[in-house]
Amino acid sequence: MKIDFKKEKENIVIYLSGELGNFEAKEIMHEAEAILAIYKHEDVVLDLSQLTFMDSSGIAVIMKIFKNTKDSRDFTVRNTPSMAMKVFSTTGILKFVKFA
Amino acid sequence: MKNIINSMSMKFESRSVNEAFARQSVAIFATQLDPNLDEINDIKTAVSEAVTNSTVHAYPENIGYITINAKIFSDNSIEITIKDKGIGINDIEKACTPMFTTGGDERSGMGFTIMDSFMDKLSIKSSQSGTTVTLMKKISPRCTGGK
Repeated sequence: MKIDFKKEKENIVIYLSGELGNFEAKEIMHEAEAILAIYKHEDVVLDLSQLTFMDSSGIAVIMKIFKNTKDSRDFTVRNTPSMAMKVFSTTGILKFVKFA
Repeated sequence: MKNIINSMSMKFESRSVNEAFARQSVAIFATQLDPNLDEINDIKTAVSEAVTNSTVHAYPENIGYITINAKIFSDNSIEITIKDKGIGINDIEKACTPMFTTGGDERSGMGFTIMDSFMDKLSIKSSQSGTTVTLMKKISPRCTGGK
């Protein structure tokens, strides 16, 4: 699992690549929070195009970013692979987190 | 009547780093059923959820062993059991409730919901001496072009 970030216009885009399970999720949460602490005002985009596997740990990662951003800025998840979308669809997360 | 045509078993320590090893090993074993990409991902995800439960909840204070047995049957189905000798699940019904977790905000509480919806059958047996989760999935035969 790799986490990268890039400033794109008014957004900070976080890219996840590889497999995201419980083992990987802990570090990803810490890193994502560190990125959000540096870029305090930008809207946040999570790009999942390079994700090769994801279980319910991905939901916890998204909830963490959602809680961190919901009062102050926009948060969008984009380029979700179909296998990850299937995990999200099983849960209620699509109702309150924005997927593009 | 269905017969067992192949089986495997593996045993590993309940370290979080082994979760990827476990789900990938079972997925590779399952490929002999010629599943499509969606089916293999369903199996991989369900196994990952079960193994994560054992590493996070069964052995919260120590490292124990997790055993996986997988059997392939003549009706093109696979049965996977994930077994630990941990502390057990107090209330299985509660554990299966979506969003219920004892794992704090690092876990989503969706493990059993995902196992149940991604596989054809899910059964859970738990006592104070451990938990056994059995997952079953039938792989649909593929149409081979031109035949």
